[in-house]
This record gives sequence, structure tokens and C-alpha cells, in this order.
Amino acid sequence: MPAWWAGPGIGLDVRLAMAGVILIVLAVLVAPLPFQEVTPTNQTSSQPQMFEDRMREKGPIEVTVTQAALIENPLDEEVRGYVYMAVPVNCSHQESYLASAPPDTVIQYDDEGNPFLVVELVLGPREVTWVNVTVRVRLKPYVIDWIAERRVWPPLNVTLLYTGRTRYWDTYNLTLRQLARDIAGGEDDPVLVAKSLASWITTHLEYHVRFDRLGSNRAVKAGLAKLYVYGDCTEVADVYVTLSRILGLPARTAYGMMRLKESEDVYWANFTSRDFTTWTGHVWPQVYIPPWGWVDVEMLEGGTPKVGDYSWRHVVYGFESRKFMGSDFLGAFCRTSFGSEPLYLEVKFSPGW
Amino acid sequence: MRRSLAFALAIAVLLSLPALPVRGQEMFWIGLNFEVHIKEDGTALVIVREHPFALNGTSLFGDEEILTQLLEEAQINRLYAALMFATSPEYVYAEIVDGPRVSMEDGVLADPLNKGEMIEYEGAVVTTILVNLSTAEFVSDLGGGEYEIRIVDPFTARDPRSWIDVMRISWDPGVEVIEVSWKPARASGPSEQGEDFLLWMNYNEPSAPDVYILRVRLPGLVVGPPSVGEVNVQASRIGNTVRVTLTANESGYAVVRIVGPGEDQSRGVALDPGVPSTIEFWSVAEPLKVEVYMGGGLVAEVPVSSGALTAYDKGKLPEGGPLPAGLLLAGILILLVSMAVGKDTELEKQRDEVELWEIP
Repeated sequence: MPAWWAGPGIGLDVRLAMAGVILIVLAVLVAPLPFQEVTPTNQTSSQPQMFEDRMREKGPIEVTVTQAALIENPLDEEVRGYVYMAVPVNCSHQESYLASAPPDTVIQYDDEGNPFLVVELVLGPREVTWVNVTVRVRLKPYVIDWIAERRVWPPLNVTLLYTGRTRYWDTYNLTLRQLARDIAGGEDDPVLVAKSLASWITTHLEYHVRFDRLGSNRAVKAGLAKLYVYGDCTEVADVYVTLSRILGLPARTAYGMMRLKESEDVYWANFTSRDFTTWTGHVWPQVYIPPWGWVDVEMLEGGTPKVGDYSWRHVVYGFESRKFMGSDFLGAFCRTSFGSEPLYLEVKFSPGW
Repeated sequence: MRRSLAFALAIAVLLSLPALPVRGQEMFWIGLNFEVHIKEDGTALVIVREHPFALNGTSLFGDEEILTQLLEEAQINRLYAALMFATSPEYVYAEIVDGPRVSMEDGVLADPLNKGEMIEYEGAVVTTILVNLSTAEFVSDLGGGEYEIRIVDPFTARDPRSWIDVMRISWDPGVEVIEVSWKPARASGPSEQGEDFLLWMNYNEPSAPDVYILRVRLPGLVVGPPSVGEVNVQASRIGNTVRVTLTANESGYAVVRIVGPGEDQSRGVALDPGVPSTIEFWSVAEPLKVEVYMGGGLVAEVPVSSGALTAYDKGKLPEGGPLPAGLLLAGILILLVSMAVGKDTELEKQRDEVELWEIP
């Protein structure tokens, strides 16, 4: 028996002491691990007191959007054709109203509910004309304070629709699956999953302007010792959506404009024969988190990733969520059936209505 | 009619930085004539005929470079054929059964300058794809042996200025077409119809339907989700934490749902063969059951069993429970008693120890 067990002045009955120790050990084994709250099972129906996430909305900010497209008939004969122009959408943090458009303009919606205008034109040989559209937009920037201890996952109808594989979001890619698990595989809170992915991409991004869309399979590249994301906002968004869907969190992309200043500004919105100075087309991901619904994720505004911190800079023109082959409007705000792209596409944002 | 060549360069370029204009290759259009033949056995043959022409309508079928490109791109028609019947090729079986091949016996109709008259172009790249309607997402069972078949124009779905110039839908004698409709309503109806076919001549994109809808009686069709591999599901609950473990025998993707009174949560899970995947939900509702969906259909359903008497939450000190607290108190009590008893018998114990050493 070691000296500390029965030192001077401390007497023990060994058998009783052993029984006591055994009971204490049993108590420790039966009880949950340390640092965990114990609640009887029959009390599980009452929700414990806890903080809830809260949203702070800013604004609203009213903006007039004036879009002007210069359309050309490249042929030496008269042609009846159509101009297809994307416009800002109505969604949870944006209201849009069509203020003016050419006569007989038709509003159509694609199969994801994104509106676009169809303008019918008859252009003579080599004729060039302007198509002008005005939309009044009410922006509602927001910030969500993520303070809740626990969160729930989306309902079935949302998850079934927004976790599938597409041409640009290959959720079956084994490298991407492993990458997603390495980043946030053990996380069971949807907000922490969303934040982990945004943080990883922000710190593993090699930003390069692309003229094509790589998709997540080609946008994630292997460096000397680690994987990284290569490309621009489209690749960032595509990789984010893919990793998020792999981890089971519904995700999609929003596309539109990112304004550079709040005062009046003019942006060029397509590749044209004219020179242009400022291009602000933008794509960013969204994830579905109850009770808020679609929450914006921004990884290219400032130096830090933002989940649920949605600024006045964003103007949404549409969403891509289920189109297997992708959406053409994600890459172009205006298309024509005349056989040539618009010569020029200008988007002006003016404060107020 | 769809655009090509410059298409790849023009697509999906959204930048946050100033960029330079891009000079693309010459653009051309491709006339698209589709025939969907619905067979008695619940399959459909999609025959795609394509013909390239310049913006002014001049045929480019004699241009070898363009023809080669068209043949290479025709492989993607399997994908487009699948997307006529489902949002994703995962949700329908489709395979190329003939082609792509160059046929001078086939022709393509198109109205290149939107003049309201079709021009017939001689020669076509022809590809035939077999589609299994029984696995198609856009085929729904209406009951009484009737089915609704929705056929989507996959080109319009991607690019609003593209459309199928000519769509012919035909069927076997054993197939009964009960009703025909199309979307959007502003689009034109069939320009010709017979006992076993419907023909749409789509002169321009606005007049072309985005979706062709048929209500049919099809004896050979049994609708069901695509077959998926085996998946083992285990679900347990410890307090408010519901743990679900899935093990599949092949690679796949499942959506796990926990559902009960006032509860509907779900999360996707990427499955790798033989590797268990465990996820957890937080829920106060009970009783709960777990549903697992794969390929768009429900494949497993299990009740959530309680895993322990107690529940615990992360991050807080133990507050006690009846059994462990009792054991802990009893143990401490016995230890104290042992100390008290031990003091009284200390000398006797020491003697016992000496005796033990002295008796060999």
C-alpha cells in the first residue's frame, strides 16, 4: 500500500473505501461527460431558454435603374427579331417595378421564376437602335446577428429542390466531397457550415478574371500542398454552392450587379465593341437557413467573408438554382435574336425614384 | 434554333473588375428539328436533326470544320434529351442508340430570318436517344392508367432566344393520347395533327412552346423513381439531439428528413460506398421518424428510438440526474464511513500487517 493511502493520522477501512470508490466511478460513468448540461428526458418537450438569431434591416433604399441596349441588325436585309433583357427581380430583400419600356414589351419568366423582358423589333438593313428600360428598385440591406446556440435545418421541400447536382455544381466529385468534409464535415449547425465554407474559400482564393465558366470541378485546383479556388466571382459562387450542397445545406446563386458607390453611377454590362471602364456584374451564393429563408453569402466584398450581411451594393437580377445546364442570363443581361450581341449595354443607377 | 461557336465565349462572364472586350469566332445558328416517338413499352425515342446555317440563312452544311464541331457537340444531345423529361439527367435514363451521323437523306426546317416561312435545308446530323419514361421526373401517374408526360424545350430553358424549330410528337398504336396542351398559353398549337402524331412548326421563339404536355394512356408504363442502391439507416435520439447514420453500398446522395409533430427538418448527405455518414439534428419534437430520399423518391423510413435516459447539451456543467447523483452521494458517504472506521482499527490493522510478514 503506498504511503499516501494511509498516512499518519488518516485511517481507512480498505474494503469500505474500495466500495465507495467503485460507486463514485460508477456515478461518473453513468453521468454524461463533464461540461454538459443534464436534462431529464421527460423535459425535452420544453425548449430551454436560449438566444435567437435576429435580423436588422437597413433602409429601404430607393434606386432608379436605367438600362439602355444598343441593338444592331448585322444583315443587309430587314429582319424581325427580339431583344431579351434581364431586369431586377422581386425577392425578399428587393422590390422591383417596371417604370418604362418600349411599346408591346412582354414580361416573361424563366422556369426558375426570373423575369426578363422580350422586345420585338423590326430593323432595316444594318439598322442600329436603342432599347431603353427603366426599373424602380427598393433595396433592403440586412444584417443577421448569429447569436443562437442551436439552429434547425430547412424543410424537406427546400432540401430536395436545392441540393441537386448540375453541370457546374458537381456534388459527386470525390475531391470536392473530401474537401467539404475537411472544412466542415463534422459541423451540424447550418450557419457554422455556411461560415466555415465562406471562410475557407476567402482564404484559399486565387482571383483571376475568367471569360468562361469553369464550374466547381475545374475551379478547384491542387497547389503544392493544398487545394485552392481559381477564378472570379462565378467560380467562387459555383464552388461555394457545390461544397454547401455536398454538406447538405441548400444553396443557389444570385446574379446581378454590385454597385461601387451609392451616388449616381453608370456601368457597362456586356462585352461590346466599345471600350468601357467599369464592369460590375456579379454572382454570389445564397444558402437556405430557417427561419430566414435564403441568406446571402458574400466573399468578395471587403476582406472578410459575410454570411447574412447583405449590403446596398447588391442588385439582384435573378437566381440560378436548378437549371442543369446553367442560365444564360447569369452571364449576359441582354441577348438578341438578330445574330449579334448588343453593341453596347449601359446600366445607370440613380438614387431615389 | 440555337447559336453556336461564339456561344461558349459569350456565356457566363461576370466580373467584379474591369475587363477587356472579347472577340469571338463567327457565330452561326443551328436549326433544330426534334421528333419524340412514344412507344408502347414505356420508352421514347428522341430523334434530333441539326443543320448549321449562317446568320443570313445560308447553309453551312458543306463547311467541314463546322460539321465536325456539330458531330462532336452532338454527344451533348443525350443530355438535352434527358433534360426534356427531367430537371437533371439523374432523374431519367437516356442513352444514345444511334449516331451522331451525317445523313443527306434527312433535312431540317427552319425560318432563319423570322419571315414566317420555313426553309428546308438538305442534310442533317442525326442523333437518336432512347429515354425510359418510367424513370422520368416529368412523367406523373394520374391514376386509372393515365399519365401526364411533360416534354420541355431544353434550349429555351437555358437560353431564352433558342428554341426547337420543328417538334413532331408521335406514338405507337397501343398508346392513347387523351389530351394535348402546351405552355405558355401565348405559344402556338400544333400546325398539323394526325391519328398518331402532332407537329409544331415554330417560326420564332415567342411562338414556340416551352413545354409540350400530353395526357396519355400507356399500358406498358409503370412510373417510379430511378433505382438506387441499398442504404442502411440507423436513427437514435439522445435528448434533443437526433443522430442519423447512413451506410450505402454505392456512391450517391441522400436527403435525410426528421419529421414529427410540428417538425420538418432535412439535410442532404453525400454517400460514399461502405462509409457510414452520420449527421445530427436538434429537435424538441417527439415522436420523430426519419425518412431518407434518393433519386427524388422515398427509399427508407425508420422511427427514432430513444438512446438514453438522459439528455445533455454541450457547454454546461452537470446539474445532476437521479441515478448518477445517488451513486455519487453513496460513494462519498461510504468513503467517509471507511475513514471513521479505519481510525478506530488502525492499530489492529498494523498488527495484521506485521503478522502477515512474519508468517512465511
